[in-house]
Amino acid sequence: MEEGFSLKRWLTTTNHKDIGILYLITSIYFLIAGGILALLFRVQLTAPGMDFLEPSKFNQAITMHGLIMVLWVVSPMAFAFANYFVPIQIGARDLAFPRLNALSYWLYLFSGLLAVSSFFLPGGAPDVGWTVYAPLNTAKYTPQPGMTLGGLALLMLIASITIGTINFIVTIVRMRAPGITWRNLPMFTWSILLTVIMMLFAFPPLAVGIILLGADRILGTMFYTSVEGGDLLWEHLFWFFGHPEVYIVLTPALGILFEIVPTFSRRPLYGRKFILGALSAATLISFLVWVHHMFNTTVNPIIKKIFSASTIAISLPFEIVAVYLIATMVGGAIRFRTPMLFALGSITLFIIGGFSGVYNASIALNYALRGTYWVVAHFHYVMAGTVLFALFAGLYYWFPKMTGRMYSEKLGKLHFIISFIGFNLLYFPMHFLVDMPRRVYTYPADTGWTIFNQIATVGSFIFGLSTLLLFINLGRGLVSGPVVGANPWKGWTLEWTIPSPPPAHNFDALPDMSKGVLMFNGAPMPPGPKEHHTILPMTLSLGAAILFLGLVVALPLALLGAVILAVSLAKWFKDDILDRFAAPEGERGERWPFEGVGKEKLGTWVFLTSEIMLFGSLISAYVYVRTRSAFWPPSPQLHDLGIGLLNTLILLTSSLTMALALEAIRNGSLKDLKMWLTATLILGLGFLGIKAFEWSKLAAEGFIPSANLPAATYYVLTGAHGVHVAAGLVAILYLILKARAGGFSREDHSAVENTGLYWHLVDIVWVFLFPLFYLI
Amino acid sequence: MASELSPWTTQWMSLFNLFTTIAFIVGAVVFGFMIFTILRYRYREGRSEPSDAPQPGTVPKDRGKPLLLFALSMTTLTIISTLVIGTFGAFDFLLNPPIKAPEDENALVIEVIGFQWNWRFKYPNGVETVGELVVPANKVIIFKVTSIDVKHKLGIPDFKIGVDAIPGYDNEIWLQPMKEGEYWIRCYELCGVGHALMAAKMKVVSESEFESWLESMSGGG
Repeated sequence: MEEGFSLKRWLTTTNHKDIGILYLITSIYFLIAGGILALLFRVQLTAPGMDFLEPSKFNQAITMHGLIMVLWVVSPMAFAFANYFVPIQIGARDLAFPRLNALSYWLYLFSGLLAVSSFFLPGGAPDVGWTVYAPLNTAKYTPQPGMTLGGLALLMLIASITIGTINFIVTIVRMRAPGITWRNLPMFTWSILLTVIMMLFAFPPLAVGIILLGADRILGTMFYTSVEGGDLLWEHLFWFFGHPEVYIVLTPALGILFEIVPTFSRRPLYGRKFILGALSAATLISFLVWVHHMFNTTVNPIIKKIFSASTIAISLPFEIVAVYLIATMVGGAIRFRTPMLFALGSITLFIIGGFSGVYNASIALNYALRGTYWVVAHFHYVMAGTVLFALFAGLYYWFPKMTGRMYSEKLGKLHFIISFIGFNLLYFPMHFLVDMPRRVYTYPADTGWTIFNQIATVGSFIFGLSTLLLFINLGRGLVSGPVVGANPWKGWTLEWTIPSPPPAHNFDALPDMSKGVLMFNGAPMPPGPKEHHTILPMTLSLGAAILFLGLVVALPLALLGAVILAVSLAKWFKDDILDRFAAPEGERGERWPFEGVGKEKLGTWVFLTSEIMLFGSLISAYVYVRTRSAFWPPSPQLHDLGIGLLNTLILLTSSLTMALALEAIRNGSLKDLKMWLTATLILGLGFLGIKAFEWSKLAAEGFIPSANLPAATYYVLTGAHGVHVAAGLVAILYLILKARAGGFSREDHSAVENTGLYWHLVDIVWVFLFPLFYLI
Repeated sequence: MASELSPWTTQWMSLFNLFTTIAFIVGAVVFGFMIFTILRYRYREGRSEPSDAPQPGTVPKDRGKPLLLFALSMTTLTIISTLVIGTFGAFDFLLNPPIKAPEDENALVIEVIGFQWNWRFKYPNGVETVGELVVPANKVIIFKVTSIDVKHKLGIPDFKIGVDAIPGYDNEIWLQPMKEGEYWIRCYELCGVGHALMAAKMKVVSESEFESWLESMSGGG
């Protein structure tokens, strides 16, 4: 903040508060985009037989509305607050990896722009619904390049989310100030921790679903066009992500309510421990309910029953949450300021959406409810109503903290009243459209659906336009609102103990809450000579976006993107080798149960977890299509066991050389380190070379990806593994360069250790792939 | 519902009503509690701050007794069990059509094939129709639903029944329509630009009418 307002600052910042603001503004931009799409199709549905949007445009509008709102609005807006306030709430100066945090943001921004730009390609944007069901999503039925671009944009977003996940887990686990124990951790931070844990496990299966889809669309494989894979394979992968995603979106919103309701009712949260228990249970159960999206498919009836029961049962933890929020207010002195009004609105919509959800969970009722406006009403009450109202509550709540100025209470209350009425006018009538199919661009006049659609359309405009009041209010507040002090709401968490807006370094001295009361310890940390700004996260993401756009539009463009990407990465490595960039870290604090684990190492472990999920999902997809195939030639008939064994041997040897490299630097020998790293590099290159030879030999025999499922699974799985080997080699090359510059020592060599962990995992994955493709 | 449309529809309706009744009761209690709390404990002039009010930089006191959790869980589990039992009852009803075997003479097996963007119906004697389904009243109709292109969902909204049409799979569902008349069949899964128009008519006629209709169809083709 010391440099004032300049474009350069915003392009190069790595400060968590700046990035929080960037997330906030970007998510509001996408909110407006997604909202306008919604208004367009609401106009089309005003009356039967309207031709405001032609069918294909209508389908594009609903698809992009869903994708944008779920993936580029509600979650990122929550992460705007998480970026800004989680480090402050735990008494840290920044996130664990500020540069990676900037990278998360820029990947998010460019992935969103990439997705939106698909509208301008021939054939337009994806038009298959946000659930992207197979085989409608394959090239035969949706040939437009916009569909492929949308998939690539999603992969980029998943990269952003994975990086963010690692960052937040490491930050919350390892960077808490003294006294910020798990018991004292603020509820908003708790909710973000639970959210990123869900993200860690949910997004890799989606990535696999999209990778297989990309293979189908680009390489002509048959994962989703075949009966063995097809719709069910997609639905399992998609909903294993898709259902936890609902809770990923919901949990931060609840976290905001847990902050606001106690603050404005002037009472501590009721049953905090029980709420945490309930939410943790829900986090777990959220991975055990996905088949409820597949109740009308051919899945085994017993499995359907189990999932119906588990889905109905997940209402229990959320009921506890709702009741405890209300119980918190008992005995309080409730002040109905705008954040509190939105919080109460959010709870109300949460209860209504919870009820309609239980209907959907019933496998019997589901026969008639699935695919109707009842479902639309339900998930909008939860994902749009509960979540958006809570996010707006958070926006009003933290606005004075972020800006140092107050918004107009009068306008805020008006915004609440109008948006609450608009929202319910929009979505409540949809409960009466229980027979109307979703995603239809028009409907017959003789169905009696017209009146409810008209009320909904009126409501949509009231709800949509009410948001203007928010923007006007916050805009005016920013410019001319009355200046506020540190703690206008009398909140307890640490952000309210520092000035509004907070200084760049958050705390002048190290916060300490060991006594349950905030104290400051020690001298202020002097700003070091190192850089806190870097343009590289931005250029790297830009390069990736151009690369992806080029892959779909024009290959020369892809080349340009690849060059930008490679140069950015090289410069990033150079910064690291020269030790230019510094991340602020507290000297001491709460780290239980990871006291002995460095933050890079913990980050690596978290990353490896997501990698395990990724390969686990890939292997599951392989097993799925193989067990469903009537005929699958035994592997030895397809593949040369000799080559497979040789490559296994090479890769296992490279694990050994990698371990020896670590051993060398532990003994302080840079020379041996360089030697063993080079040996690993050569072995890795050898592995890839043999792989390339094997591939070309198979391809010459007609065993190409599009030939059949054994070929498709072989190329996709070993290809994904090969990409990981290649990435590992880039990392090893970086280690060699850094070692040549004398960047490692007996004490300081965490990068060697962590790259080693990654390398061993990649080798272990091969140990699983080898028998699948060469032995059985 | 003047008279019964089909046994399943009756089951569905009573289950829906059970869910709605419970939703209204629970909703009344929860919203009642919420409104009461908001009104009773709103800030008024002279109302003093609670003694345990949040203070800046101070960890709030833990409160909340396990008793509420226990009472809440027990009540909710009872409700959940009721809903699950009702659901499983209706589901089992649908899993077990009231016939002995698919060859049962009281059953009529119709293959339903979804395609972009209409429905094709195949009768056992080879008769095929598109966009129009004629079935006899009071008989158990077994639909074997599939698709030849993308995923669809066959839905007969008046009867509260529907099932996915998935390429390569036969998805079975049965219906015993009791009331003659014309009903809509629609697609309930987005299947491309024609999704909204993918509708067919279902005509429920008397047994004799059905026989003569089938006769005329097979005679003509």
